[in-house]
Amino acid sequence: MTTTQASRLLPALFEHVDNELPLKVLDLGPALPETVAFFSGFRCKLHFADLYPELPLRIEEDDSAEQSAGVEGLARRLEEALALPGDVSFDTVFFWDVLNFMSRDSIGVLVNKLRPHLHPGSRAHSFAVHSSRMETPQMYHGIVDDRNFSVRTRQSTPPDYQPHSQGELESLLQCFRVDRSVLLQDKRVEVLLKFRST
Amino acid sequence: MIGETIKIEGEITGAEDLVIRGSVKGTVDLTSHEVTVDETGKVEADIKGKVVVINGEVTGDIRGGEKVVISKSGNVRGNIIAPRVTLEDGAVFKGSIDMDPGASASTSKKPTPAAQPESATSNTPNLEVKSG
Repeated sequence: MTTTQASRLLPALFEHVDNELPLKVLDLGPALPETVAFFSGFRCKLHFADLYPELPLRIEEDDSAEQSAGVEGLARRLEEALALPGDVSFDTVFFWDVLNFMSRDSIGVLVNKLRPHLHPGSRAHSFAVHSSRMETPQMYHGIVDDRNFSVRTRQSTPPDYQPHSQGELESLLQCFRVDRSVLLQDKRVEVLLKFRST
Repeated sequence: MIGETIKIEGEITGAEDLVIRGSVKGTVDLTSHEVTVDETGKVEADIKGKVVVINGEVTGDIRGGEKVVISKSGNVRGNIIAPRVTLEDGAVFKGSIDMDPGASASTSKKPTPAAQPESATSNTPNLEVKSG
């Protein structure tokens, strides 16, 4: 079943779009019909790199392996999963809530992969949580229009739920700072991020 | 039509619509025509068509002069370039979509290839397969 949910932050992601230039969007969730239909109204390059089927994305360590080997292994996995086009710098990144299924270390590896594909005007959207005791959300999202998300029910629950607060996310996503955030009824926090140079 | 049991490796070009129900590896270049990969079709190739409809499995880049449709049974891993792209509920897609809604008008202004003589399109298969 698909429903819609109004977003107070989504409009801000599109208010600065220059219609003369193609919009470059990275979506780390599944490719959904409504999202493709929405962006078909723009000149755009839309890159879908669904990380949910790749979960768990952990730094694997054992007694014989050093931490750096684990990091390299995860970096390779992420590079394959993201398959980012080499020459693209993204204007907008949709993390959805995938970061809440990744450890702090894993998010660091992801950020290192994304950083070369961002520019000073890049923005991002993510969901954080108000309370880390929140249960795993049973929904995922697409974009209906510039003010509304679609809400769909998950068929299966992704592993490794370890939700992050807004403050935690800001410290982990070293190339973004929190611009605005909104506390949602279900105690999730919708977060709008802007690029920051490190 | 490329039937379910047919396997082709190479370059497919031509001047008529094509339905793929079998396996194709290589390239499919039918820029002025419709290419359909049916549910049983498995394509590891770059596809060029005016309209490209994917009901089966494609690994490769797809270029649609007018539009690309990935139906509910479609599974595509690759990049799509088309003025319009439609993804149906249930479709699986991983890769990039390059969309330029204004480009459809300019595409339609391009000169269309000369029409084939009636005899050439009615009886004679007009697809060319070059083995790779």
